[in-house]
Amino acid sequence: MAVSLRHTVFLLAVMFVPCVAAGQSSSRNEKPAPRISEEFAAIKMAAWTKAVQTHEAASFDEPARTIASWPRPHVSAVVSRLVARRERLLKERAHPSAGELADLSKVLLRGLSLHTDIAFAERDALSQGSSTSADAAVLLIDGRETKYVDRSYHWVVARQIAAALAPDPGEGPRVLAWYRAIAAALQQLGDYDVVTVHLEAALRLFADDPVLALYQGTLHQTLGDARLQEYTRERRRPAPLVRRLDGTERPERAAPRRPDAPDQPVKRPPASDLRRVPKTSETELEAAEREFRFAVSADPTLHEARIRLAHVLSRLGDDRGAADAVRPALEVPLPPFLEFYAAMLLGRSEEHLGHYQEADDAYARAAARFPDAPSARMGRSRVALARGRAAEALASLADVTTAGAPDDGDPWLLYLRRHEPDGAAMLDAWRSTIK
Amino acid sequence: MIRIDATAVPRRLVVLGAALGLTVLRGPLAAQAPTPNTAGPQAMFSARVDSVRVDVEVRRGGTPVAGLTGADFEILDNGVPQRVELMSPTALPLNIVLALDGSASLDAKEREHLIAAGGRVIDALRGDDKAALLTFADHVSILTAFTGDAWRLRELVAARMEGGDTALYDAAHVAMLIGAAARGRPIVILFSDGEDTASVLTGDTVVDTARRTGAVVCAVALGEPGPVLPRLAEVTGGVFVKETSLNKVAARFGEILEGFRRRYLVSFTPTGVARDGWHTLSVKVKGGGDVRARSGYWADPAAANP
Repeated sequence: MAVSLRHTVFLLAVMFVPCVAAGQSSSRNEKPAPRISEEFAAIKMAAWTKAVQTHEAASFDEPARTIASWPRPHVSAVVSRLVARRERLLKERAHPSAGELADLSKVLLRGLSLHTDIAFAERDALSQGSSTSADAAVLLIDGRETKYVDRSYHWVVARQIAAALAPDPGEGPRVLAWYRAIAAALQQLGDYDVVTVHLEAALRLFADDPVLALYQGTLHQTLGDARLQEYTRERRRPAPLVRRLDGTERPERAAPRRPDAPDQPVKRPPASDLRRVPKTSETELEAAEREFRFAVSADPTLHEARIRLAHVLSRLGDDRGAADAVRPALEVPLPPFLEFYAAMLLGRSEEHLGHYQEADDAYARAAARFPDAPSARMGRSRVALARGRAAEALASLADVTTAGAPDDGDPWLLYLRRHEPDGAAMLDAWRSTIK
Repeated sequence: MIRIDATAVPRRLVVLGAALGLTVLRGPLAAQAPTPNTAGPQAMFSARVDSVRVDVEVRRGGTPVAGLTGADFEILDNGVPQRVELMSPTALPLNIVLALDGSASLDAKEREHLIAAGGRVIDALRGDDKAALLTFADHVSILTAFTGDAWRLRELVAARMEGGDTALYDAAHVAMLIGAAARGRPIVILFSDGEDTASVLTGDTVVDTARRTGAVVCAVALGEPGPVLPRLAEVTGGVFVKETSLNKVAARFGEILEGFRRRYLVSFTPTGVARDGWHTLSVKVKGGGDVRARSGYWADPAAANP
């Protein structure tokens, strides 16, 4: 089974956020492996090494399925031992064991690829089921709890390997590329619970990386978005009324619903709390602003950060700042998605500032880039109305109705998910470096 | 975002295209001048204002007040008293835009209640009344422009909804534009089960749309809808109802429509005020009472020469 991101990218209303038992530490899943005998560990290490060497990247092939079938303690024991061995060899780098160190690093890097592929494959499988685990993820659809799902522990294993490889100057850049690619891919999938932990780990290792700052900012931007804020508001309310279909109410927290079986509530994990999940919208957006400003200052060519900064500033009510932030991005060649996103944001801020001609010009630029995008037509309709051109406002919408939504979706709906380059492309590029 | 759901109702592309084209070419939006109208002054918005028509609800002790005459109304346009004429409430048909939330947060049973609520509105159409229907999730789908074909409307209300996020503001913008573009008394009846999560437009801009169009927005919401829906109702002289259960929405829709039919239809030709810009309206009745009417209207000289 090929590991693909494409098929899920348009499930825009779907997002996963953490649901972690109150008081438990963030490293709950990353505890050391239990002890197993050295003899058994050696057998398992041999099998694991064979699997990573024969695994074909981006697939859930037989070696991947074999490792995926192992109990977690076995995988942890193997990886922990290999990581420990590598640390010992690092201390002996000047000794004849340097060749062994290189070989082990190569195996671990391939292991990183293998566990990444398993994690993606298990994501799809686990998402079909439901969980009562205390550290499950909450599946939100349109801001409402739908069910709880388990997550693959292979992300934990992958991060363990990545953390071991990161300090090595020879492997560090590839590990950084992995962290970037996975962060972009997970945001594309809406796996905000996993990406939260992933970025925490990444930023511990690469605190000054502007791309990771961009992704961290995007995470805060997402957590400040209405979809998650609506959910968080419901959870913060002390004793919300449960809406029953018969119209009666009861002062308990609503159980999540399955879309296909509305009368069968999914059992909620006990004593759950929303650690790591959104603070207030303003707090999240301000955190996003800080990350984007850092990213732009560290890499002025990182135009996506500039564009996202504009979005956040507009959300915070600073449309003048937003327009100033985004204009430079529109003066350079941009990939189509980013140009569209930038033009839409400029249009919106200019409209808020009462600069209707400039707003219309910006929306027109967005529409030129994606002629079928309903969002750009909606913006032009609003500006036309604000200019007193009601007939034009309506006609803009009539054009849209005959065009319909583009087959690949409206880019406006993707801005919380998509990066440029996107996660799938980055992951492919990273995999191509693993031999 | 807006699009036609060609899968669910394959022939409505033609219907809508023709209807909107007709509206744009012949309706008050494009004409930018009063259309000869045997029924009385033509509704205007964002246009050169020759006459202004206002739907007014009057209650005393919670009960609608009947039997008022034009002389009973006091309307101030930017603080300047105006001469008020009372129109027959049946002078113009109702143009009802039914805008229903089709987002993924509604489950199957809740959607059944919503279909029933839409049916209640359709059943209440009279004479030349017409209804348009749109649904919204992460985009807006106009299922039909104005039609009096109740059978067709019922069929469309029952059509599947796509799910997704909630482009509430975009939907309100589209609904108000459609409602105000046709001849008649435009009322937008909007249902949403939550706050906007996906619109291009912001809350402030859609409230501005409300000021610039003549539609009366009546909204029913479940949960915590945020401040925009109540604001839309306030600005347009409509009603906002926060409901706790979807099985009550049909009744609310019925009450909204019934209440709207009991409203007075008054008009005046603005005198002693500037022609352009925002006009704040103050509507009162002699003898007192709770009055609900739009908070003002927008007159824009640019609209005369778009």
